[in-house]
Amino acid sequence: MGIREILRVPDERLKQVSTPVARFDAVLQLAITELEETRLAGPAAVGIAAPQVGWFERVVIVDVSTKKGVYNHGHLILVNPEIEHWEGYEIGREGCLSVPDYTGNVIRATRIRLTAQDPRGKPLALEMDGYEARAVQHEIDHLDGLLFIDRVVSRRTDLFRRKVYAAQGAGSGGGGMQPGARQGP
Amino acid sequence: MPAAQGPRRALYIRFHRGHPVAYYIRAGGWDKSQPRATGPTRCRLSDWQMLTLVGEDRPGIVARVATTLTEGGCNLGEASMIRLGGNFTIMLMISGERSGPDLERLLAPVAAELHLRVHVDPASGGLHRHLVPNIQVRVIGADRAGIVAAVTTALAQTGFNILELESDVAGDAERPVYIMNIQGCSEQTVESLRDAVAGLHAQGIAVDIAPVETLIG
Repeated sequence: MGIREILRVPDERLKQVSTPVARFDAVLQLAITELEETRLAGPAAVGIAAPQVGWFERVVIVDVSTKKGVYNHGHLILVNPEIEHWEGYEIGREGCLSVPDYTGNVIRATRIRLTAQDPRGKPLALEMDGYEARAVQHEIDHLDGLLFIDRVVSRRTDLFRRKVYAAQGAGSGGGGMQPGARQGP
Repeated sequence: MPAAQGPRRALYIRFHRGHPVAYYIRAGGWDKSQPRATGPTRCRLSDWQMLTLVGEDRPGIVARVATTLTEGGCNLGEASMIRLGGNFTIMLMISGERSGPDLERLLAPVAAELHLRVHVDPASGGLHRHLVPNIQVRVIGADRAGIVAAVTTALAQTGFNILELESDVAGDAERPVYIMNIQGCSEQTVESLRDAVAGLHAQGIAVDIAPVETLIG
């Protein structure tokens, strides 16, 4: 009943930037419940973001506790999450409910600090690393209209995409399309 | 129908312009009028050809070949292009009405102009048959004959299925170093795979085996 259809590429709505949650009411709680039911109904996803079900507010769910040997904070519902600090980087393989039948290597920060609110609006401050940090970065990207395929790096050479700023624009090859502009480990 | 009328049986959520809105009674099913994402129309032929092109590398080869194929009514599937030793190499899945010899004839003018050798094989299989690797193997050793054979034989004896293999020779002409990265599937534990390649250390080959955890989010 509460399972939503997952938006899939190339649905343009996945590129939409989501707005902050302003009302922490029963409607929010129910929408979160349905978001979680949708996550659990699909193939073993460790996270889901609201825009994946056509809900364009800043809500993500992450739960990597099912993975063996992965340090984690358990089941996390993060409302209005904001990453405040990035540290280190590593490459890992990712897939996405919105990009079926494709996986690719993505560079993510190894360790992050973030703030968020819980479903009742209580402030949260979290530090995490490794697999859980990767999952949170993947989900928060959805809130900014980014998919992991916007960040996939070459399998052969672990290339970073150069960060290109508007002032440097000419001759640098389409800097305006740089997907990682908001995030910078 | 924004407000509940009559008995409230259950609370439902719909998204209106990206925001959740509560409804108490489900009225006539969900809105099906939203446009659904659709991909490009693709010929659903079961038969594929595997096209291999090799030649001297230069800019623009893929564009010329792909344009020739597209204008010749072919569909392109999965592809892998890489520069090996300064050579251009590509393998492409091709579907369409053309037979292998017909494909070779189609590509003959561009192949002659760009000095490419063309090879076509009928291929079974199809799209959407990806396997997700769960093991990564990194190999480093002073370059000498037999490294690939030694490592892959040790892995094969455990039932390891190689999905991707890339190797390169680093260092310099005097002291070349062979570097190989393999990703693949195995049902064995990491420990048993490490045991399987342990003997290679004595031969000066460093083999690092690590699990690959693919994150689905």
